[in-house]
Amino acid sequence: MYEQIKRNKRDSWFLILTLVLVLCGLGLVIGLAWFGSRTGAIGFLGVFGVVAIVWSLIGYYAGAGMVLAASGARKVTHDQAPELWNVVDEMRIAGGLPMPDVYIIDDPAPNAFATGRDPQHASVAVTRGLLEELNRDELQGVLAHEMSHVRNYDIRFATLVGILVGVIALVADIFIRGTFWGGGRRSEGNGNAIFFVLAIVLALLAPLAAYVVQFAISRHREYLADASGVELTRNPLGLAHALEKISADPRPLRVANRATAHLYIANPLKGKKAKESAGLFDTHPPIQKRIAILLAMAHQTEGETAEAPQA
Amino acid sequence: MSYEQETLTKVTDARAAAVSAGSQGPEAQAHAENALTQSLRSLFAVAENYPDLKANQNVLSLQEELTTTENKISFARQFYNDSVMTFNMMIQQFPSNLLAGMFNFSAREFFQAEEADKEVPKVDLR
Repeated sequence: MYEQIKRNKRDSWFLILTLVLVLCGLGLVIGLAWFGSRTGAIGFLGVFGVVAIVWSLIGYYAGAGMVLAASGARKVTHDQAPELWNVVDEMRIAGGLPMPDVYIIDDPAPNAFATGRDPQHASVAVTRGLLEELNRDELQGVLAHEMSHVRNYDIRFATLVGILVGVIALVADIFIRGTFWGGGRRSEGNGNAIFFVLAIVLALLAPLAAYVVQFAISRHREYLADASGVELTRNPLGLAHALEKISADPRPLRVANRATAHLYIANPLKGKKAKESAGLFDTHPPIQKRIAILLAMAHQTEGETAEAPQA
Repeated sequence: MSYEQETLTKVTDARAAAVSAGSQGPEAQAHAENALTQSLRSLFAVAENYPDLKANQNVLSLQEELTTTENKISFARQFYNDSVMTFNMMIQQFPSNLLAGMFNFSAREFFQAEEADKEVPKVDLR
């Protein structure tokens, strides 16, 4: 497990570096296309870099609060939701983590997510529907999954990747709109036609590539969090049954949108039919496949307990 | 009534014993905590005998707190044992075993539940 966490952290930095490089390349090419000269391009890259860094810092320190606010999550105490609080407390003890803030989203669709920048600044949020539909074991399974996201530093990673992808999309958007509304005229005199075409192609492709990277990571991490969640509860069936109930519920989550969808335990947007395999733009692996893996785990542990009783 | 009195005394005694066993190493602590878990279970059993009591909101929340306390104890043990397992493996594995040998790290004791304590306690109604 610790190996996986270490690898997660290393992969995270590698991917963030890749996204930063994509961002810089995009900035440089746009600068060349707009201003034509090297000094102009570097100046543009400088301004652009400062904006990106400021944006990232804001996202890093205030991102969790923004996500919670955008989802309409309300912070609760032990006395307001004793069972939820206790189950979170149990799971954070099982993972050896500090107690996160606990939030409830007033929505009948069952779902949950975790956010924050590290285990010391983490929050978990569940919907009212989840509390109503799930029994204690299933709730434990879901929260073990969420605490695993916290423990594996997935929350930090998701926050950072989200910011970078947002910046890339924003920059590409600004360039395309700017070109459309007058950037083209400016570049006619001094701009370089080759860089101009390159910039347009990059501006169109970079956000797409960034999304594909983000979603691929998101899907991989869902499997990992399922597995390490089971390591906390030692009960694969709890999470399996919870996922069954969540996927059986037809209601989409009103407060979720495309920017926050990848945070949730199961795709909150629904609408699409159940599929066998995940597409490039899916934020979540197919839920039936996740359930099948969990049921296989349950089978395995059953075999083990039959041979040697658990301590 | 005497049975209930006895159950309550057992719970309080077991609690005091568990608190004081904290400094005597994992084995003594495991023993004391198992006694506490066992006496808590008989407290549940007592509550089962009173249908009115079972439906009472206060009793329901007490039951939730007892359940979570038991779970927390076992999850804390699980985390401790997982850490001990990782630690014991690390001090035997290359290359961390070299450093472990240099600083005299020795294998730690697991926190084990006794077989007898894992059985559901019998409730003797008098």
